[in-house]
Amino acid sequence: MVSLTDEELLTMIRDGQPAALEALIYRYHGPIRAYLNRVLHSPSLADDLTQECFVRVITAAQSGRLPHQARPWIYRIATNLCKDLWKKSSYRQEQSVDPVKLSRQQDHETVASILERQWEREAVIECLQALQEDNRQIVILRYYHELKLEDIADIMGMPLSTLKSRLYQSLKKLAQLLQAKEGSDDGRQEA
Amino acid sequence: MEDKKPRTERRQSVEMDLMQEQALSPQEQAILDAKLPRYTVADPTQAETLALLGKLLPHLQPNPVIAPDPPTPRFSELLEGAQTKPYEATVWSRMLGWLGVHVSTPHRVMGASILLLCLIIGWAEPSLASSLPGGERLSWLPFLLPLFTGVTLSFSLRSLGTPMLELERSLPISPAYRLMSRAIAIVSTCALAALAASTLLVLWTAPYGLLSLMLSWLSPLLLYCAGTVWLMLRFGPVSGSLSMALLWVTQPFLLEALGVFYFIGDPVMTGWLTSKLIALGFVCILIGDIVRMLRKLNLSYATRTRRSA
Repeated sequence: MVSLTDEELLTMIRDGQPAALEALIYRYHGPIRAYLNRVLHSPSLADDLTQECFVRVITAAQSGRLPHQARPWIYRIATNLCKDLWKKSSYRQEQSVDPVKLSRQQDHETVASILERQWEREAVIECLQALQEDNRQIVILRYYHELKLEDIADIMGMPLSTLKSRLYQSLKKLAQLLQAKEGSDDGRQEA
Repeated sequence: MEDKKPRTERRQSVEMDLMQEQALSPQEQAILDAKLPRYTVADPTQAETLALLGKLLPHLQPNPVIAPDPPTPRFSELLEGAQTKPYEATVWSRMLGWLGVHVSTPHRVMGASILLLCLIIGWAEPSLASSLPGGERLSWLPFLLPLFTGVTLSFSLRSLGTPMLELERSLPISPAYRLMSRAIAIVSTCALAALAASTLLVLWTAPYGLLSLMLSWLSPLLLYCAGTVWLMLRFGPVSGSLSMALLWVTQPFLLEALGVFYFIGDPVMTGWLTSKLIALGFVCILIGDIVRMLRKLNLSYATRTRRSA
């Protein structure tokens, strides 16, 4: 089952084979949940939308609408779910009271080093949050999920040149924000 | 944690995207390279994936019959449910539950020890007064009780000013709430223990009235605890606790000089009531400042612990 491609798995799901669904879930549960978690900044919402994303994958496969490339297609479904969520006014009200900024990383390092990493993680989250929603998704898809630019352009529904320009602007702004944050933290420590 | 490619490889691939007409400066690239990988996200556990699979498998059926999840009770509903219970039972059960949660076993042992100590001191006070130099001028119960309570208090607030407090910040309750809950729980336990002891002493020896006896030790106890917490917040747990203990221990030696600021006197001493009222006034001021400092705790401790890290 592991050697089968994602597209073959989708075909088998269309035929109602549970093993294919199991294989697909094991391949994509982690990445899709991580993507949604980074974009939405809420583990509970990410869990809900991950489930909804796979329900839509199953429904689409059963109706025979199979993609040429499964990976960007699944990410596109997840991205559309995010966009639907952002359109809801209730989400925007809830967003401010649901900040999850704490690291869940567990290892055998010292308390100080864990804290240092946690602060850095919070800084990255804050700076990513400062980007526009579309730009944040582009950075996350490219940097953390390593999708091809062509695939990201397909997912986001924009021309490749626009995507490149947006990626450049987003990374530039992100670097500036991180530098400014680092500078302000250093200044605060010296004070 | 997902981390499919080495960082350098990932960086090169991102650079390649941009290298034709737009490129980041080396500093910008370096900071992105250093910071972005910090945003890790936990992978789902095997159980979580299996749970998701269990929810999705019914969708593969031609006509899926999906059982709805049981409704999660809302917080307001839980609150309403709690309020329908008899008032007295709720109050007492809440109080006992609160003490059970916030007062750990060492603190309970300490409370029982204080009760025992009070009884021993009450029994031995006449002989102590006659055998020790200056013992006749010292009221032992108000002198020793705060010291023992302070040890418990210092132990329970030992995370102040350390990186451990930063980890406690990740708990669902705020550090201010947590610290104040601990402090209040400990002082209440000790006060209850000493109240029981005082009642027994009044019944047993009847040196003064119960109200006078309670005020004699209660105001020094509150003053000592408030002072300890205030100094701990100002100077750290060790320095704060030791400073307060030192200040307290020097009191009996400065009886003549302190006047109404001698807070551990007996009801027979002149200015006894004034000194107790002054002590309570100090307690109010200190508690006000403690609350103010705790409100600022999030920023001040983040900075301080980060500097030490």
